[in-house]
Amino acid sequence: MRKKTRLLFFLFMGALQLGSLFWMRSEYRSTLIDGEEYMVPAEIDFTGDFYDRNYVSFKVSVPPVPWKGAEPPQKGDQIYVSLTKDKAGMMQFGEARENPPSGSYLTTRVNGTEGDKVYFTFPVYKLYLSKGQMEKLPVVELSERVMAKDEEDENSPLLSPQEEKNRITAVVRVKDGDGAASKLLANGSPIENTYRTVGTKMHPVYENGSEAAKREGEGLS
Amino acid sequence: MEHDRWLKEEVARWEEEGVVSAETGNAILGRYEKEKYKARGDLLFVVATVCILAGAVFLCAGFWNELEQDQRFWLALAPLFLSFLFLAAAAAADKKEYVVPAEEREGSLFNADGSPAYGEEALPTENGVIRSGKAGTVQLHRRVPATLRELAGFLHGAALLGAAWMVRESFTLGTDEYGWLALCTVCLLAMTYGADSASLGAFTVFAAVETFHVAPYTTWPQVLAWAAMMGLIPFLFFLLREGRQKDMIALSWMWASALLLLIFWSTDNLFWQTLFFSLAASMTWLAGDVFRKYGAVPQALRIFGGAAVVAVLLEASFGEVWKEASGNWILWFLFLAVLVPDLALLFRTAGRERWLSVLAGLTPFVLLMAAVISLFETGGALSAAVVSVYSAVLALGLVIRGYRTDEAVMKWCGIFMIVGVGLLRIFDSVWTLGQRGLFFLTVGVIAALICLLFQAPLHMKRKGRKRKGASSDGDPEEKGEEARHA
Repeated sequence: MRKKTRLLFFLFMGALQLGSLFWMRSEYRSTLIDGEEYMVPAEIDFTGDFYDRNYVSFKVSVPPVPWKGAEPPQKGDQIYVSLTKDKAGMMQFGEARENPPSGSYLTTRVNGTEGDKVYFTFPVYKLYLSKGQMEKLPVVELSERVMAKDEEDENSPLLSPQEEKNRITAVVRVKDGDGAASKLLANGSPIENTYRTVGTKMHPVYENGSEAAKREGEGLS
Repeated sequence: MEHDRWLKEEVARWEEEGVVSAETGNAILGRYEKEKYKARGDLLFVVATVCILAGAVFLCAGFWNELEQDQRFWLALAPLFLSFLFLAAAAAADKKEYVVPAEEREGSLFNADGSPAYGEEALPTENGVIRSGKAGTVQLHRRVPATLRELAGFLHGAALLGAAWMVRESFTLGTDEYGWLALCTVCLLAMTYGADSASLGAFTVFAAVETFHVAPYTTWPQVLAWAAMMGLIPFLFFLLREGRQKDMIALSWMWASALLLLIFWSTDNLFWQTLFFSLAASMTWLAGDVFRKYGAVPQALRIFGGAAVVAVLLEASFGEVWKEASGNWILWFLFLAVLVPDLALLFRTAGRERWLSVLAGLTPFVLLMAAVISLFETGGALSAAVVSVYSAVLALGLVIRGYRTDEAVMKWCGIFMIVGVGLLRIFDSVWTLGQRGLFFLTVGVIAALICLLFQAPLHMKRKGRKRKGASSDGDPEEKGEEARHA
C-alpha cells in the first residue's frame, strides 16, 4: 500500500470508528429527548451487585400480543409491536408484525408463540443514574413486599411476601422502534424521592403481640 | 533454558574429550547467547505490557462507576483515539527495505550466478525472508520493529473493542448485542491488512467468534463471522511469506481454534459437529505437513492438528455420536465439498510418502464410512467399532513412528491413545460385553500382526549387520536421514 493511500485508509477507518461510537450515543440521546413518552408497570431487579452498577435494572412483564402476518414467527425472529397509550399515559401493546407499522412501535424479538399470540421481551431494562443517585436510593423501602396469598398455589393457606409494597412504573421514551427509560416512579414519584423510614422512637404494633413488641411499645427496649 | 543447559554440558564434555578446543566451544556457546537474551527480552516485554495494561484497566474500572454517562463516553474514546494515533504513527514510520546481506557481498553463501550455494534454507532470516530474484538475493528489513508494530496493533484492537463495549453499556438501546460487534469485526479485519498487524488479526478472530456467539437467531452476523474468518486466510499466507513465524503460529492457532468453535456452534447436532471437526483437524495436520519446509509454523499446525485428530477420534468412537445420523442434503453436500481439498492434500502427502500424515488425513473418510454405516445400523455400535479400530491403528502408527524416529513424545502419544480408546470402550454403554470383548481381541490381533511385520525385518537386519561386523549404532547421518524420510 502506498503511503498516501495508507494515510487515506487510516483517516477513513478513524472516522468510521469514532463516528460509529458517536452515532451509538446520539441514537440513545435522540430517543431519550425526542421519543414519545409512555408509562409501563415495572419491577426493579435487586439481584447481583446493585450498587456496583451505574444503572437500575428493571423488568417489564408484557402480555402476549396478536400476530399479524402470513407465517407464524419463530423464536428469535425480529418483530415490531405497535404501541398506543391510555388516558393515564400507560403503554398499551397492539399487535406484532414483520414490518414496522405506522405510528409508534417497539422493535424486539419473539420469545415464543401460543396459537396466534406472540410472547416477546420488553427491550428496555436500564435506567442510568449517577453514583450519587444510586447511593441515595432507598433500597429497603423500594424492595419491601407485602403479605398476600400465593395466587398460583391454591392449596397454600399461609400468607407470604408476594407483592411489592410500592407500585413501580417505568417512564419510557420510544422513537423509531428504540426505547430508553427516562425515569422510574414509585407510587407516582421518582424512586430517588421514595419515603424513607426515619427516627428511633417508634411504637410498632405486631400482629402476634409478642413481649418484645409490648416492651417496645412501652418504651422499655 | 533446558536446551541451553544441555548445550553447555555437551560442550564441556566435548572439550574434555578433545573433540573441540576451548575456543571452538566458546564460539559454539556464543552463537546462542544473543538468542537467549532476545528471548528473555521478548518475554519481559510481554510481561511488562500485560501488567501495565492490567493496571490501567483496573484503575479505570475503579472510578468508572463514579463517572456520569457523558464522562464515561469520553473515557471510552480517549484510549481509542490515542491507540489510533500510535498505530497510524507506527504505520507511517514503517518502511520495507530490501538490503543485500553481507554474506552475499562476500559471496560465501552464493554461487557465481547469484543462486544460493546451499539452498535458501541455509540463508540467514533474522529480520525477514530472503527473496531470490533477477537482482540476486535480498533481505527484507522493516524500519519499525515487529514488537512495536504488534504492540500498536494490540493496543488499538483492545481499545476499539473496549470503547465499543463501554459506549454500548452506557447507552443501551434494545437487547441485541451483535450490531456493534459486527461493526468491530469489519473494522478490525480492514485494520489487520491496513496496519499489517497479527495482533489485530487475533482481535478480528475474537470479534468474529463473539459476533457469531451473541447472534443466535439472526443469519447475517453469522455469515459475517464466517466471512471474516475466511478473509483472514490471505493474511496468514502473507505472514508465512514474510517469514513472521511467531505471529503466524499465534494467529493460526487462534484461527484454527475459532474455526472449530464456529463449526461446533454452526451445527447443533453432535453427528455433524464430529464430521466437520474431523475435516478441520485432518486438514490442519495435512497443511502443516505440506508446508513443513517453512519451519516452526507447520510444526505448530501439525501439533494442533494432531491433538484435534486424536480428540475427534476419541469422541467419534462413542456410539452415542452415531445415533443422531441425519441432516439435510446441504450439510452432506458441504461435507463432501470440503472433502475434495482434503483429498488433494492427501494425495500430495502420499506422493511424498509421509504415511502417518496420510493416515491422519484419512480420518474424515473413515468417519464418512462410519456415517454411512450408521444410516443402516442406527444403534451406532458398528460405526463406533469402525472408528475405534481405526483409532487403534493410528495410535499404533504413532508408536511405530515414535520408535523409528526415536521421539519419546510420539511413542507416548500413541500409547496414551491406545489406552484411551480401550478405556472408552469399557465405559461406552452402546456396546454389549460381547462387542467389547470382540473389539479388544481384534485390536490385539492387529497389534500382534503389526509387531510381527515390523519385528521380522528388524531382526533380519540386525543379523545381517552382525555378519558384516558393522557397528550396531550405525552411521548417525544415515540414521538422521532415515528419520527425516520417515
